[in-house]
Amino acid sequence: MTSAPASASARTVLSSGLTAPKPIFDWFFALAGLSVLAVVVRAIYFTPIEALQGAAQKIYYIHVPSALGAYIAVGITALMSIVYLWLHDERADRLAEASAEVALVFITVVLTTGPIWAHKIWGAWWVWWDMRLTFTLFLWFIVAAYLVLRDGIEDAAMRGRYGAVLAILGALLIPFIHLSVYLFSARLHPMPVVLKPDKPSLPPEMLTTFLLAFVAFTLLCFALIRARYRIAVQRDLVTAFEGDGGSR
Amino acid sequence: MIDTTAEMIAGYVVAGLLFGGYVLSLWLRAHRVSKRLDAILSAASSRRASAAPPARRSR
Repeated sequence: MTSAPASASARTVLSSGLTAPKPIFDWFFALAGLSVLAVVVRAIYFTPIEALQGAAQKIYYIHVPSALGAYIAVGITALMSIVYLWLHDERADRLAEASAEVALVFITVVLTTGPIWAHKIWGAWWVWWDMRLTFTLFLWFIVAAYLVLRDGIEDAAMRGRYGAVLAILGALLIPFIHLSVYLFSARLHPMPVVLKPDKPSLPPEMLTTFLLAFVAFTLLCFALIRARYRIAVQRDLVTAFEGDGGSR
Repeated sequence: MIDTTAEMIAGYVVAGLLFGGYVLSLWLRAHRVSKRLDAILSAASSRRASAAPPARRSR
């Protein structure tokens, strides 16, 4: 039996930051989608083909921005986890959960587009001794474990606390992933061509496409997190109205 | 230059499927949860309406 909307649990949820449901897909989502579409068209049709690798090098314009989007999403998860542990604010926990799910999608894109590119250029789908590959796979497992852990814990406070600790530990991998090409001599990944102390070594047209792709995928990352957060808000409202606080 | 057009297409298609699939899953979840929320709110509002005292007839 469902309780009335003015039930104690519903009032608690509403007072803890849940507001009236907002549209999941709005102008920001449309802007992000159109930006990504425009960048893909620019990358495929209006960006020069790399002399040695051919067209496969254009995977770079989705592979690297997706990796950076994953870093941002995992970073938000870790930051919100710290906020949750500090303030016990359910909004922070909800945002951490939303970002983690989006991070998993972005890392999956990185881990699938990379091998497609590598197969032709390196002659191998995967090499375990390339630490950037292995650490990125490790990060994927940590983010997946975070989501599975959250799904398996009924009590909301315990779910938030355990998840937060795992998320903070997982985010510590990011510097190692980025710096792995400097730290390990045995590697197939090239040294950074843009995110390095010196000037970017990409030709101007390629650099422009990359920077636009970075902006578009960052927008997409934020739009997906926002949409996923709003779903979580509605889900928690339903849970509160139905009167079973911690269950999913 | 080697011909790697097939790899480029495969990379973009795979990324498109992954992002598209995720957006579809978000849409389905949003649809499901908003339907549940609407049902709860309309049930509550009809309960409130039936529980309210009859309005006084004005002279």
